[in-house]
Amino acid sequence: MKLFKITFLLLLIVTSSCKGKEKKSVISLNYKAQTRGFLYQIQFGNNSIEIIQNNIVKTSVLSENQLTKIDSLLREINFNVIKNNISTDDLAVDSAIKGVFNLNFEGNSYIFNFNHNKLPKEIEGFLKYLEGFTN
Amino acid sequence: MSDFYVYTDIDAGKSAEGAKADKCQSMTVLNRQLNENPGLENRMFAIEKHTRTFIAGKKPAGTPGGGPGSGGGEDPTPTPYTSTVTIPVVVNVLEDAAHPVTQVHINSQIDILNADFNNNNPATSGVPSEFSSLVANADITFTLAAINRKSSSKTSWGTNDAMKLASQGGIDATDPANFLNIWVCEIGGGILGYAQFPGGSLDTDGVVIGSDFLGENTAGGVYGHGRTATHEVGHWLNLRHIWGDGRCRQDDFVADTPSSDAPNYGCPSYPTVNCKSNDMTMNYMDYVYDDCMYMFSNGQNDRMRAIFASGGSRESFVTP
Repeated sequence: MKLFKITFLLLLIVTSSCKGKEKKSVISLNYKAQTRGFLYQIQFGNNSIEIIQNNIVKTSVLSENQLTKIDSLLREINFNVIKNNISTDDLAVDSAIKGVFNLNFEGNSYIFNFNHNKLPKEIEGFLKYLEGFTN
Repeated sequence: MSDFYVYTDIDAGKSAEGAKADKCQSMTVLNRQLNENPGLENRMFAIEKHTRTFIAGKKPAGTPGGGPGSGGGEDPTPTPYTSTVTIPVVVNVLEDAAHPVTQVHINSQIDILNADFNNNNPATSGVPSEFSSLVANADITFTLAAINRKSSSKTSWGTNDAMKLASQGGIDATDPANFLNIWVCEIGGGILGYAQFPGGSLDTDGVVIGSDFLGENTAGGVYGHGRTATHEVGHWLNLRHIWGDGRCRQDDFVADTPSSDAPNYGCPSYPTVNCKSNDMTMNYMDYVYDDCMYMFSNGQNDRMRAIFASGGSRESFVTP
């Protein structure tokens, strides 16, 4: 009976662990905001992240837990309601910075053009969270 | 109305749902702006039509699009203003002690504007031969008329024009029909400077420059040689970005500038090829380092001069 219980527990752990891995999908993100005198870029893929802020480049390798957190954060964002918010008029007179957000997540591709200084709150929060990994 | 104001920049509206959604979003933004300021499009359209009539009138009769009266339907060709255009400048400084703007900075900015708009930038000798015949002398002179200073601890004014309004802590414009107003402040958000095209509200007419980027200023680094103001004043004089703020087919409304699909950054080597031609990376209306921009083209000069011709949007600067 004891052996059965141990075997059952082991099986449960292995199964739930595998399920967890199945849930997490392949994620890649490239966000780039650039204008004259300003560059901000986040590249995330596999288990590494690179953030460029003008001439400063920071990289970090993420843990399994961090990757799981990123996965769950992305699941909380409803990309169907996110809107592009860059104004071509503002770009034409240099009063805005275009941020191109390109995310592959759960087999879907999401591409947005944002005003970098007026990012949707969910996106801003997500990018700030990623930034935290390289501090 | 025309290709002028109906933006077609594919990039500006791309979304997860593809090109159809792209166009809708672009139109949504455009419609919102037009709702906010319904007269703006008409004014800008009129300015563009006037400019095209002026430019067409400069071409010899008999050439495509050339000859007096051929550019704007029934409109008469505007009479050019052929003398030196003199622009009195009012500098409005919102002073932040951490980013001082001195008289030396201001004087050097005026000197740089005068060099750039009179083809006296020494670096212009480096224009590649392909473009050397296109270098223009705009014959526009800037004179310092006044400096207004106001203390401010605000570290990020943003781009909503608050610095231009005393009611929002800024400094009101001085007679914008007769003076170029330059506001100098901490803009923040990574913006070096921004402008307003002719046709906008007079209350906010002028350009805004970040404190570290006015004139010769070591704090500005590679952007500390006064060309942010040259670029923004170019917009104030109705110039577009040289890449037309779009893909290859998006135009800057200037015939002699090559097509391009994006800004250039840094200090590009020649030739830099985009859209099957060499980019004019050294043009003041690109996004390169200050020391790497050193020319306006003849076509850009025509656009700038058009607004000072009879009926032009800045004709008041050349009429008594």
